[in-house]
Amino acid sequence: MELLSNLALGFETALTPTNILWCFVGTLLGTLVGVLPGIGPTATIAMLLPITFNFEPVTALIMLAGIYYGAQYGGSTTAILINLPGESSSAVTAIDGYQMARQGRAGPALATAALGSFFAGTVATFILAVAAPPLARAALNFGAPEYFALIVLGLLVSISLAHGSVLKALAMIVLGLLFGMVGQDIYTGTPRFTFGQPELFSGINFVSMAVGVFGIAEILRNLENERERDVMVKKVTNLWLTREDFRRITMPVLRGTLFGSLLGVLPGGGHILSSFASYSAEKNLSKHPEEFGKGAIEGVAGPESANNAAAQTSFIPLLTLGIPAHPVMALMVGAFIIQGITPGPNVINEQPALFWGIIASMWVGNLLLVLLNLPLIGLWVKLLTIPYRVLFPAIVVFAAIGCYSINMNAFDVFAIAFFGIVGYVLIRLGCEPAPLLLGFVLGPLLEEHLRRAMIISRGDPTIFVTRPISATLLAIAVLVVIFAMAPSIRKKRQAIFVEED
Amino acid sequence: MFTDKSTRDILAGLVFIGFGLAFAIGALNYDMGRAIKMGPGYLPMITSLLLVGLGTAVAVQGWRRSETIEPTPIPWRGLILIVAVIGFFGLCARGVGLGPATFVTAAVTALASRHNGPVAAIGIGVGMAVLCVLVFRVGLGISIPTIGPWFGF
Amino acid sequence: MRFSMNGIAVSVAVLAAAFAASTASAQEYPTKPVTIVVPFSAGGPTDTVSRLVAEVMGRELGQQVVIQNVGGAGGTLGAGQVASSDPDGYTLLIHHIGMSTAPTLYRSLPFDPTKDFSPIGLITEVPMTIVARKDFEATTLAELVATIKEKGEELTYANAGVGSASHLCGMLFMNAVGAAMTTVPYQGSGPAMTDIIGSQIDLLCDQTTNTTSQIKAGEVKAYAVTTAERLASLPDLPTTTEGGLEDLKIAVWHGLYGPAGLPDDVVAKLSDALKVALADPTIVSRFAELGTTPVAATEAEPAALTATLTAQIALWKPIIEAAGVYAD
Repeated sequence: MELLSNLALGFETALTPTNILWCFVGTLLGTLVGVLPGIGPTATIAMLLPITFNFEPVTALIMLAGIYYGAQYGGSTTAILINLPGESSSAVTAIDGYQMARQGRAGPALATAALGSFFAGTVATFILAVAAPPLARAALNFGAPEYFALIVLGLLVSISLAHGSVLKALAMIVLGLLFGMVGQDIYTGTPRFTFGQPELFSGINFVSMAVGVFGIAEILRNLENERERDVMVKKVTNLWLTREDFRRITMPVLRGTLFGSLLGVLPGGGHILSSFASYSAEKNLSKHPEEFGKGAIEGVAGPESANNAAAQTSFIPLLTLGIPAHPVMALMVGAFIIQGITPGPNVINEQPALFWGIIASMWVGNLLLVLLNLPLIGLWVKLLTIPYRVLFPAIVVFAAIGCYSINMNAFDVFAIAFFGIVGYVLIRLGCEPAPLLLGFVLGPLLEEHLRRAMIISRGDPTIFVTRPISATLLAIAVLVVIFAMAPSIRKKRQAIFVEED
Repeated sequence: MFTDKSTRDILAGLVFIGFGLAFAIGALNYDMGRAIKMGPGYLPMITSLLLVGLGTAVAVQGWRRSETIEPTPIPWRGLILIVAVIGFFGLCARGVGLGPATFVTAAVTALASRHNGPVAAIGIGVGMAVLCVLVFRVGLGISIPTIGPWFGF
Repeated sequence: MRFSMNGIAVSVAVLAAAFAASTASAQEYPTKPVTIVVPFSAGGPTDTVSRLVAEVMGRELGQQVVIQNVGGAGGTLGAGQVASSDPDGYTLLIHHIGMSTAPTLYRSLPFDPTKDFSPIGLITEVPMTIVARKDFEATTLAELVATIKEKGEELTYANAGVGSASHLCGMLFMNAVGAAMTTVPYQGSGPAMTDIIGSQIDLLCDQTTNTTSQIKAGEVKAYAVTTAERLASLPDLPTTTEGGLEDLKIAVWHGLYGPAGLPDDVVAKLSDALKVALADPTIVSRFAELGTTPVAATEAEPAALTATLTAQIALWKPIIEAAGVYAD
């Protein structure tokens, strides 16, 4: 019963009034910056780091962690309400969440996100407490070939992100891959497709692209036939989930939590895949896949749970091994060091109160988040009653300030306009933006791991099939393709008959 | 509108082919390397050619397919205003400061809608400027000054 | 928007509480917050060093010292931004050894490190350590050198990207051994270290800031430290000289700069504040945990930084040119 005494120590630490207060401040600030597009948790934690200098280490880290998962949470609010996703996970939520909002179901969408996140957060925190060290060890078996195989699998599975033409979705993914290659090649330092602009050396900013192809393109769509139809939401029907909604979200939340918890542990970009993977899974398993992309509640429940679970479990490599899974975790390493604690395998033994305190605080933080956000749903939904002619200039301004504030880089702002146009043109031509973003996010990872695997194997491509994990993942990928092709061939035959009527 | 070809698909295919060719030409400047030790140009070249191929397939599919779509007008006014104002924000935010930049961005964007007159636009601009200075500058302390150095402060 | 207003109130309160301690005194410079540009992303070793120093310097100067991370292009973006900013003392730069390698690595560098900056002082020199995956066969540096000579390119050496400290150390290391290994670049120290711990890759030479805790926990096998003396934080680790590689000496030195043309009194004031920061007990103990020490007060001077910078530019030019690596 060591676990119980450890958790008792953790809650003892997390439930002191000071720690509860700062946990609340962290989750509140996190929610706020998450709601504002662009700023994001990295910038906020960087800005607030100096404030935590005078805190106790555990208090400082509890607050910073709160900002992180609070921001994950807040990001979905903007994605659902105004189609402005701040990061890859909320881009997935935007697909069906925004459609729900347009149908007057913003309330249920936000409530689903809140409840799904809370459930996922609770489970993931428990996993963190029970199995952090073995999971971290298992994740270390993932080298370049395994990540490559995982990303290939992710890309193939995610073709179902599209609800229209598969061919167009594939082309959008590939276009995304190409945009992802803009910037300095990490192996040789060669700047690619940068037009000699040093601002582009570190690549196109994800937020600019997401805000452009989702937010700005959507505004342009809405301005198209302003005269004939009112663009904004139909009547808001209800704020809360119906019994039927609860039934529909149960399994997606469970599956999303599973996906997120497992993928979040992988330090090489696993957490990015979790929400995309969950969305694809839900669409493929759904009895009514045609609803996806048109406001399916499962498309919000699954990815939101996956995302929040991954946010929690991505602390595992940091807390148990001292290695950061992504940039926000790298910043947390900095926060540890500034507090005089070097994160590493010894933290769990040398600083048990800190280790278990942070874990316990995550559950407290998730509880605070759900208590904070459920009452706010009514308020958020009221925001949608602001006339669209006032709302859309606000969206443009938030997008511009948000993107600019990340790196103080004018190019990030220009990129919003560029991708706004590209997104608008492609959407008009019947292509969907989500696969483009997926390709963009996974492209650099795909190239990085493929090339690294080839360097390590000294040019021997059999490395992908001789390593068991990689071989298994690729085999699953092949099966996925076969399964996906079979019905589409059948459908094609039927389609020919249909068109001849 | 009913056509015996899908104009949308053909155009989409052409857009993909265009992007594919542009990236392929760009990739020519970079060392290809070999599969063993891939150069910076290797994957961009393969990927752009793949995009050209997919674009062609999309266009061919469109040629064979009939469709019915309602044509919608392109919102030229909104498009030009929004692109221009985002460009303005990128170039001038630091120089004019957060307040004025936000005011201009919001006010000009507002004019993209036919439902907003000049008075409404100025109102939206002022409102957004106050809100954004409070949220971003006072609240979050981002490092763009409220009023920029171009006004002589 | 009641909700946002509450949020603002909270954040204002937070900010106020944090800076209540640092009350401004009426002096000529500085009269407003000073920004230090760190040309790398937040959370890295340079960022950590900068934030520690900035906090104490802020107290000393009576003004908040804000860190702004301008990452990208191996640190040259942020450095370029400072080079072209006004020399009023409100925009400064903390850069590491990369300042001396940039002129060779980047053939079209938009600034000259020796002409476009006013050096203020050295901050610290972070030693580097040579580590391997924990199941690697060699146990001593001599055995490691022999293994490298025997296996050469069969061995994989990780680095944190073109121009990173681990990349520089790798070039120097292979020069000293006289045999090349297969270099595998990563995006940053974190992923490189992950693959060493996971035994996906063989060797890495990285700053003690990144390696100390892993060495102490036995997650990686350590062979040597690249300084003349052994480190207090890792007393059992021999130096490269002890192990027979006299030529392998490298430390990641950090310096504080302003744009060229910074007034002398401002430079002096900043250098004095830097000295106070480097003598601060908290900084000394934090640096010690990172396996490094602040430089002596005589080094936190413009002259010392200029000397180091010129010497290092001359040192790295032939090494980088011989390796034929360029970042652009």
